[in-house]
Amino acid sequence: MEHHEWRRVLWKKQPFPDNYVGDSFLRVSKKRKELSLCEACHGALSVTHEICSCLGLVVIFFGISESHLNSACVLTLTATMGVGGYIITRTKLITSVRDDVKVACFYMVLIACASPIIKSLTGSVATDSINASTTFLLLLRLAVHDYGTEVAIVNPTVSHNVGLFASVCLASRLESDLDVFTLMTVAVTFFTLFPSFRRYFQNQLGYRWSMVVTLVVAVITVSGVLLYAPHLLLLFLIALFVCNFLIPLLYVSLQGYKQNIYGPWDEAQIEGR
Amino acid sequence: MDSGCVSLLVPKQLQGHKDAFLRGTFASSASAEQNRTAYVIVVTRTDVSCDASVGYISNKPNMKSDPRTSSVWVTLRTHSHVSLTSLKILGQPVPLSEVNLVFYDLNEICQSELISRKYPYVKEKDHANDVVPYFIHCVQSDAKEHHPKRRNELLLLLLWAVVRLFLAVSWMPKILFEAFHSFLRNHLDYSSSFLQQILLRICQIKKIQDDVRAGKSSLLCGRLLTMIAIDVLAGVCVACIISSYASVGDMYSSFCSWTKLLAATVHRLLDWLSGAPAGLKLNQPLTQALSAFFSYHVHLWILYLELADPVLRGVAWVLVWVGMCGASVQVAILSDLLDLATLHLHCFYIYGARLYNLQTSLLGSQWRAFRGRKWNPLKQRVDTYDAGGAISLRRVLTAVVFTLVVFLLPTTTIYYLVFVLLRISLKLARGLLAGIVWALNINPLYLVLLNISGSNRVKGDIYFSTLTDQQQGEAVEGNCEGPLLLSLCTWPSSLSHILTDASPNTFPSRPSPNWSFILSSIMFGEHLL
Repeated sequence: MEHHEWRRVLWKKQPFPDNYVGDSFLRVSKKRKELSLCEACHGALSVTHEICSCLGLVVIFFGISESHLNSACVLTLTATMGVGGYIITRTKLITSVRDDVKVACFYMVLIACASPIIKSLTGSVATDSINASTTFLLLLRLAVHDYGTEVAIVNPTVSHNVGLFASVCLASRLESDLDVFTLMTVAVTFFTLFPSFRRYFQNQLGYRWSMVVTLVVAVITVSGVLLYAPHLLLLFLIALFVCNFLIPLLYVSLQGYKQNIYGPWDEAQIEGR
Repeated sequence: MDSGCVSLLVPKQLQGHKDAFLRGTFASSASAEQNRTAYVIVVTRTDVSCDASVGYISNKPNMKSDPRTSSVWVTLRTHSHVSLTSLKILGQPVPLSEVNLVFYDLNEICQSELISRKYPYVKEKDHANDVVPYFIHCVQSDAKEHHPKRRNELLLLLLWAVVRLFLAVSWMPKILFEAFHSFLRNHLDYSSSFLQQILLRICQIKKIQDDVRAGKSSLLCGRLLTMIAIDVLAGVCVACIISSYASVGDMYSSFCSWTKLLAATVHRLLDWLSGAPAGLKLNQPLTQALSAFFSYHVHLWILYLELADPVLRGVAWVLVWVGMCGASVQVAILSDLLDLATLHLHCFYIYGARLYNLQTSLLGSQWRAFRGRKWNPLKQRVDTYDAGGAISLRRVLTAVVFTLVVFLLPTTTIYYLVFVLLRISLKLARGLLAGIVWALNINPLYLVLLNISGSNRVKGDIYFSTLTDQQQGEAVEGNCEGPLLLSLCTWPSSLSHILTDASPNTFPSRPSPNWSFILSSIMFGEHLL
């Protein structure tokens, strides 16, 4: 009489014959985490943020190089945003205020000293090469950025450094030292400080507030593109649509086909990085 | 030589000899076959007295001779041709079919100097089975005891006097040269080929003096003498030819103008580079700065040549006449002068190499940091390294430095390439001159002449051949009772064999460049060429 559930242990006396094979014999597990459409869309918000910051950099570059934007204004705006973000996230930081101020000053001085050198860096490179390489580098940054999952392709160092490389390529096209310094500061703010800020408030706020903030960021970026780089508008809208609706829809509809069986034949996975 | 138990070596010079006693040595050891003893008997010369003899020449048939008290007794017949009549060992007659009778040429073995080097004699070895070294040793020691060479006294005395005079004159300069040479080598890392050549020449003359004092005129001594003679002759010829075309002053002026032309060419090249030629992607401010710096240095170089003109003129006059010591010294002086004249190019190369090395090492380390990796010197491998966590400005430094180095890379590489090419061409020229000096130093003309004239002194190889019936003049078909007849002939040893045997103090080794070092030094600029 099989009123007990067969367990794969040797120390228990079970009322089954010795050659009984139960369901749990092979320890096969079929892991499948099903995501709903809402969760997929929520995950796509980080990607939207990144796309917006990359395009924001390009927009500011176009604005400054065509003298629509005043670099002093942009600089003050970026500085206030940076300081504001720092004050907001102060509670989560482990380093002291003095160390942070020291580090920030050091990097400001570094970028200020490097600006004249950067200005003359690509004098002999054609504009087409610069445009092509910037596009490629920003796409690479989007591809390897850390959006919160742990996949093999993710490499936060490469994504950050590639972003700065692209911004140096762009900044070397500008005319005056102040312009270069402004663009570099904007790039550092967008690529170094903004992702950690985003991670902070995504942990603190709920789903709805994240949606609202993302919407605000997207609207600001669209208006900037309209004003200073209208030729990129279509590209941006297509990218937004694909990233926020098409891909999650595709993922949710196709995830039923995923059948992974994990068993004792797999290599042992070491937990954590 | 295993077919018989006894090997008997007899000189060919005994043919037609009158009756006499035979002198020689013999040895025995256990043979390869069981329970048999192998013997080797070497007959070296003849003597009228019969003490310590190993045999007897007897041309009269049927004449028996008493074996006396020696353990072996050989009886030979020398008329018409040498043949073995009988052989007794320890009183027992040995059947002739077990004897290997070998004929050798006494003069060849005695006069050869290389043969004992090829077959070195070691005591206590298995002589009866390994016959050749023992045989050579016996013949040559016997010759040394009984036939001291007669020397041409007058010639030797003259040579001795000349060599002593030269060594006495050059005693003081030698010490100075050696001190200077070691100073240059240790502190400035520069090996002057002129000093090397002079010291080598003095060393060789000292070797000649040693040989002459020992009273033997060996191959080495003859070779050195020939080489030095040819060298001095060539040097005098070259000096006469050049002085018939131009004086020392003219030569110096032409040398100076050549150097100034080189400086002007380098200056023009730097000017061209500072104009940022299209296609080379040079960074404008950097290339202008580098070009200005190097142009100023070239200007200093030309100034230096003009200022040092009178002093260098006197030095050149001295050096040309010192070159009468030999053509190799002249070539060495030329090589050193080439280095001295292009000293500033050497400086440029060092600047360019250091800059390039800084750049490549920065590039390597920053490229690794760019990808989030770091070189672990403890474990000699590349590890992942995350700089500082989520909020970190440290990565900004890496990105900025990497970008700067990547964009400035073409400029510094072009300058480095220019100077490295100049340096390599100078090194090639220097290597060529060093090769000429080496060829003059190992001049094998003496050995080649000896080889062609068939002299016995260069014979270093031995081979055996069987004697044909015609040489014996006696019908020996089907004669299984007689001994095995062999003839031992010598062959001149190969030239490369003799040359590689020479001692490194008197003959320099072949200059061979270390290719992997050269390539790695060009690629990374870490070690200087």
